[in-house]
Formats: sequence, C-alpha cells, structure tokens
Amino acid sequence: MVTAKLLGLVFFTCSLEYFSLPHLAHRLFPAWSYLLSAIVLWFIPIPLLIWLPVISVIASSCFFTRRFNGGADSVMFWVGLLLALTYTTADSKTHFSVISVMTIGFVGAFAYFMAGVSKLLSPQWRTGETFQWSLSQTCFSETFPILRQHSRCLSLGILLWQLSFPLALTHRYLAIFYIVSGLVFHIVNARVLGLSRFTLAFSCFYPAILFLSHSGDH
Amino acid sequence: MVIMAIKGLIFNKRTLPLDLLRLFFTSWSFFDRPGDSFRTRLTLYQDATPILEQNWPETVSFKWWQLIFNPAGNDWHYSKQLESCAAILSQKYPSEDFLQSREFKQYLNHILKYVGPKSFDTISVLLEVKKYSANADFQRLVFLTLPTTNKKTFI
Repeated sequence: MVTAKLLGLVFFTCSLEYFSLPHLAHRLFPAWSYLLSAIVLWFIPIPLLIWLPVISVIASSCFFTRRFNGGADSVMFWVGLLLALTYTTADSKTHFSVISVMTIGFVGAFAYFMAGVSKLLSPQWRTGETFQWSLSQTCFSETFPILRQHSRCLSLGILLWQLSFPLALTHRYLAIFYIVSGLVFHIVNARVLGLSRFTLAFSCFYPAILFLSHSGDH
Repeated sequence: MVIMAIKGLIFNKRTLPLDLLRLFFTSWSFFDRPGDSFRTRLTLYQDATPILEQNWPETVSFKWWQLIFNPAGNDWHYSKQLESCAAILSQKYPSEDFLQSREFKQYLNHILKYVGPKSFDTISVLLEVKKYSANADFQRLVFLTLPTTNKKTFI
C-alpha cells in the first residue's frame, strides 16, 4: 500500500533528523522508535506491529521531544492510526478497512479546508499583511522580494486553493490537479519558510484522496 | 526503549492530557494572523572577556535536499517556539515566577546545549520583542548573565 510506504519514508526522515541533532533533549527515544516504525511500515506491515508507529508518535510528542515536530506529528498520528485500523481489519468481512482508507482522504481534505477557513476569518490574511509577516518567519536568510510584491494576490490564491481543496474528492482530474498543486505548495513552503516536514507528511494523504476521487467518479 | 518510555511517562504526566488533545485535535491555523517578533542575542564570556556574540538561533543556508530533509531548519523553528513561549510568559508573569518556570528553563537548556561545544564560563542571554502593533524597534524583555560550565543544564 502506497500510503504505508510514504508514511514509512516520513518516519525514516524524522528519525534521521533526531539522530542528526545531538543538542536536542530527549531525542533518542523518538529517533529509534521512528526508525523501527519505518522498518515496520516498509517491510513488515502486519496487524500486530502496525500499531508501533502510532504508539511511537504518541510517546514522542507527549513525553519526549513534544512540540519539536509540530503539526507534522498530528498528520503522522492520524495517518498511522487509520492505516493501523485498515491493516487490522483487512481480513474481516466488514468494509471497515475501506472506510479507514477513505477517512485518511477525508482528514487530508479537512486539514487543508480548515487551514483555509482560519485564513478566511483573518482580515490581515485577506489583505496580504499576514503573508508578508510570515515571510519573515523563515529559517533561511533569503528574503524573496518577488513574493512580497505579490503578497495580496498570493494570499487570496492560497485562501481559495485551500478552501476549495475538498473538490479533489469529487473527480479524479480534480484530484490530480490538487495533488500536483499541493506538492508544489509544500515544496515552495519548504524553500521559503523551511517547513520541510510537511512536504512528505501531507503527501501521505494523497493516495487516499486519489482513491476517494475514483469512488466519486462511480 | 521501554525504560526511556517509563521515565518519560513519570516526568511528563502532568502535561499528558494537553499533549494528547493537541495530537488528536490539532490546530490547522498556520500563519493566519501576524504576531510579535522575538529575538535572542547571546554573548559568551571567558575570563570576563566576550569571546562570541551571536543571534540565536542562527539562520540556515539552503541546500536542495532541505526541501524534504531539513533538521537544522526544524530545529530553528523549534527554537523559535521555545523563544516565543518564554517571551510571552515573561510579559504575563512576575519575573521570579517566570524565571522558575519549566518553559523558561527549557528555553535556557536548549540554548546551552546549542552552544555546548564552545569553551566559555559565563553566558548572557538577551531576549527582546518587537510588537507587531507598534512601529517601534526591539524592546528588552529579559536579560540574564549566568555563570555556567559546559553541558550544565538547569533542569
């Protein structure tokens, strides 16, 4: 299953991050448990072991590095939980495993939609003021003046794109459009703001969104 | 790993309900409103002589692989979170309560681990705020000079 492989890649990169930051407190538990989770997701996704990624995320974000991974932890938790339910119920005669996969798609679309709603409710986002401010919240030294010049236009574009993201669930061509634009969005975010952790984490939603859009076609 | 998990559970049981809530019901409100800007300036001293002055955390130079793997960038964002948490608390609580708070100690510990390998006997930490609403320059929030040794932590 593509989602499991992608989630495995997310756990693997997070594990490497923890290993490469020696000054980060309490990093060894998440580093090792995320590495084991990646191995489970890639090579041995059996019902008993598939819960390890979920337990790892809960333990790491509640007891150890806590806020280090930010919203990406939440994405990993939800995708991991629904994936574990999918694998655990795959052999039963119920359609629960299909429902779990579909829920991954719904959660992904909901995440983008809610980000859009919070921007819609912010007058400073609509005027481009917040966009300009967010450009200063970057870990890189570059300032990207071209983005500042078009801040209002880009703000409204992002707002409309996020609000309309649930349309991706209705048709496969729309799904492909939103998935490709989503990847571009996250790669630009990673380049400009340094939010690389979301590039792979959010891509875990995309196979399920594509699956849901095919269901929508029929 | 089991021992580490049990230790983690004992030390963080107070904050567990909040952390679990944050994981289940995360906020998707990223960058929806502008806020105050904070900055931290460190000065390291050896025998009362300043040997290094720097902003903390330092910015990261871009490499193409950082599009999907950026530990230094993620650490930068995490450091800014600790810094903004400490700065907000310093404005809300009296200094004696604030200086004893877990959040401020976490902020200081992260700074000390960050500068750890360098040789110094005293460190001064200057935390400043630039209010978004006011058109003013950075204002001092906290200034501390701490005698310390390498790898010493406050928690």
